[in-house]
Amino acid sequence: MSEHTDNGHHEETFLSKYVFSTDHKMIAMQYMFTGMIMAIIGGYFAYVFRMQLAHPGEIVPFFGTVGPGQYNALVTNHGTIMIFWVAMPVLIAAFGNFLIPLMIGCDDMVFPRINRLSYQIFLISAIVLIASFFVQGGGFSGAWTAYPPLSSQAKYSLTPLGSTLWITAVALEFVAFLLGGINFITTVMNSRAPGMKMFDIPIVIWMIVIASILFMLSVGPLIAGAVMLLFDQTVGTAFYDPTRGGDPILWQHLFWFFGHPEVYVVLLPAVGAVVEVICVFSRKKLFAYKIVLYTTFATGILSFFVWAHHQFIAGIDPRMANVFTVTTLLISVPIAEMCFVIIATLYGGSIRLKTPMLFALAFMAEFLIGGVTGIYLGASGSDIYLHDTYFVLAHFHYTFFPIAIIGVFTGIYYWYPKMFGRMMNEFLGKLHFWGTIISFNCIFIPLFFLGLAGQHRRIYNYNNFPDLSGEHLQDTRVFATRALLVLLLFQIPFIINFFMSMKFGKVAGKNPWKANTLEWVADSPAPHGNFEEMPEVYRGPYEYSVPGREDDHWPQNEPG
Amino acid sequence: MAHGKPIATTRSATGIPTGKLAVWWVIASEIVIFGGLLVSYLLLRVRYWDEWGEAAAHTNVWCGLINTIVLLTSSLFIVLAHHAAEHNDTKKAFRYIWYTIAGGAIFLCVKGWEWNNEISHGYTITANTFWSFYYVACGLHGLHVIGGMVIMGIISFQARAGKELHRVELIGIYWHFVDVVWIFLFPLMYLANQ
Amino acid sequence: MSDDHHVKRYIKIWLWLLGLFVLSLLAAIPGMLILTLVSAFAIALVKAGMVTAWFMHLNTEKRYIWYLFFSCLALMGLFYMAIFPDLGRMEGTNWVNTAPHGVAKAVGGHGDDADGDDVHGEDVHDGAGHATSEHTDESGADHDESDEDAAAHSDDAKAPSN
Repeated sequence: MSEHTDNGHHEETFLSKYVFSTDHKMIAMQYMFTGMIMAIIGGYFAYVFRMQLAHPGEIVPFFGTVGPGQYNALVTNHGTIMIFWVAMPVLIAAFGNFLIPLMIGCDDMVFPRINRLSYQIFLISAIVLIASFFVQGGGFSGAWTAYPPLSSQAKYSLTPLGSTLWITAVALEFVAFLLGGINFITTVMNSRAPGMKMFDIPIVIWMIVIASILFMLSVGPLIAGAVMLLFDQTVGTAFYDPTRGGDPILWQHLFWFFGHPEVYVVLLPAVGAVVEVICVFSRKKLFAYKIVLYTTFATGILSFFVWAHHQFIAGIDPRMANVFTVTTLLISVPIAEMCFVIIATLYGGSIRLKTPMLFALAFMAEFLIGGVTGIYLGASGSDIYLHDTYFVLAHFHYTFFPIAIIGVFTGIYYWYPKMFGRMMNEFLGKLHFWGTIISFNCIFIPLFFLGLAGQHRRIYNYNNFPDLSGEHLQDTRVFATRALLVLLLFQIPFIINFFMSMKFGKVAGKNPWKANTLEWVADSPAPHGNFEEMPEVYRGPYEYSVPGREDDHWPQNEPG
Repeated sequence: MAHGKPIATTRSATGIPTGKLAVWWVIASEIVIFGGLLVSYLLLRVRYWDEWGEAAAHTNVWCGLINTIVLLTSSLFIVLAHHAAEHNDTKKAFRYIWYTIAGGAIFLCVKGWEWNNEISHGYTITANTFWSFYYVACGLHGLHVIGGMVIMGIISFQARAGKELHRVELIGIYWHFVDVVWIFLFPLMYLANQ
Repeated sequence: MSDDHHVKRYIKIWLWLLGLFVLSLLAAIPGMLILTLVSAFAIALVKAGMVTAWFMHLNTEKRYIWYLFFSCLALMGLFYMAIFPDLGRMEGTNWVNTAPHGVAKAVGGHGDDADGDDVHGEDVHDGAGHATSEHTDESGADHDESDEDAAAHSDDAKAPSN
């Protein structure tokens, strides 16, 4: 091997090490901690508006009384934060940055300084978003989908500054992830370890790259759309104003053309992390690597042709609604395929139920519920009844919660030893797992019933709609809110575990899980430059329990 | 940073140099940004065929004509700069890059005069959705021109010092893309005016 | 010398581009709609192809870069086709959306810039009004509604604010 890294030859100040670092692992940590802080804010918002729904008009502890405008702003920004500032930065940016160079066996991203720039733009976008809560009129309150005219004209949204800051923050965030995505794709295409062929790349890396490509190709029209919306808000153009020669449906198409692939942008990395964990903890080769890959391509392509199922009642052409119903139902095929592959991988393996494995299995179970309820919404007929009810809300929380929370926890519990060099506590991990999963189901299963009972998802309180309130449903709302409180409380063991294990956890060593992929060749935590000697790759990533071998794993870099 | 490029940057599993590969992806992402904008424009253009055709008749074809020629010529200069850089003729590369920047500057001046003229005749960004699209699309394109000129300015000095010569090609690719966008903007905004 | 040969080829391509450009302008002179459009866009495509192939050197690049760009363009084409039924026209067999048509006609052509500015100023005022006092907000909302109605129902006349 001729390649050697130059680690540790230079002095590092606090600023150059933690704030202006170009090291991919430090940038990943920056993304992850920013994402965690934003998750706390988003969770707090959920707490406030759920309390308002359970106890309308009463004072919410740590907030005060919730006004109608505030309620809308809370709901809007809960959605925005959880998708754009939690799921995206943690799943794509944090895991992508951390894993890509380690798992493909190189020392850093191909453009370390662009990587740093991407984080800095992301940080600015987060600050702009937080600033928007404090301006006159309050934060943007036109829902995270920002349909005009509610979003484009201050006389409807009543948040003249909040909506402008909101769209600015979102646009900046897109720029950050475009830069990051180009970096990811280029790194994986060009900088793989010698010997690593296309089908030797771990699935999670494939997933992150495909997600980055999906993001890049779908976000373009929305960037143009965001500029148009910004001009509608500030200059007074009429791109989305039907009375002056524009069309609000245009925004809906531009938004959902991005918005639906976005679901798969965050889903795929989560599935990737789950696949890694499933293979390692059932000590078995991934069932049908290539099939997983091809179904991922199919998912990616199909995800561009389903967007209008969000608009069935927006007055779109009913013939197109037929087409989009078909494509929407079609896309469940590749996803189901992935579920079967994972089940087939589990079959006959020697399963170890460590915390990451529990989360990975829970991901499958919960996402399955999200997927199956999606069938009802994808069919344009039943969507007419269910649209904008709590059923929709419960459905997409059953997809996004597994992705953005359970998937993230899978990844964190699994790669924590590599990030910080120590193991997390198993007991606290399992406590956190059961508390999270049970309370999560207790929140959202009741909401399915509320939705089927016709409850509209954007009603602040029922004082003005006593006929709709349904006395007998109030208990269900209270139950869901209590379950949310339990869910939030059960994150405390995780936070304790996360920070205490950094100091007091068992020292992990290089390869605590006995996994094959290249990141476990590096020291834990990996130093600057990652590897002492750049690894070479001799085989695929999932050679577990190979017959005739004494060891039940066979690292990718081991010759022979 | 004190140390040089990471090993990652020097590898090339695809056979395409890393910088160039990234530029191709940048252009792919730009295609969909401009694509989204122009698709929106085209949809409404077809809907308001007569009204927008009448509005488009007020664009200044002569300005568009001059700008097209200027941009095509600047594209020639940057490709010649790339050619010179490939043969390590740093002086010539530097000169051609600055010819290209001058082309961009002329483009912006003509554009500025044109906009000034149009705005003073009442065709502002809020006059009608055609004009909104006109200003947003040309403005977005203009921002790309400005960005390209700034980057070219930086690269020209690196090239003169004989450093990072491959970057001349990268900025060239980007500049040609900006040119191609204009090639489509011109018929869309100026020529289709009836 | 291959050196000169390259430069000569670049200049030749450039001359072709200029020639094609002039041709597209000439085709617009007779004022025939079809001729103008077809020639303008066909020539634009050819020119774009020449620039990408020869100046960006895509003809010597790996094939899949072409495929990447074509799939981006195809994606945009499909996007256009999928939303054309919603946005590309205003008349259906069972419905006619008259409101925007009338206003667009009225606003188009004589570029009245006061229009947009007026509405915008009103927006900000209303928004701020709501934040500070309930009362202003309500009257503001009423005012807006009547404005909206007028705009929606009067096909020929413009909204009163103009």
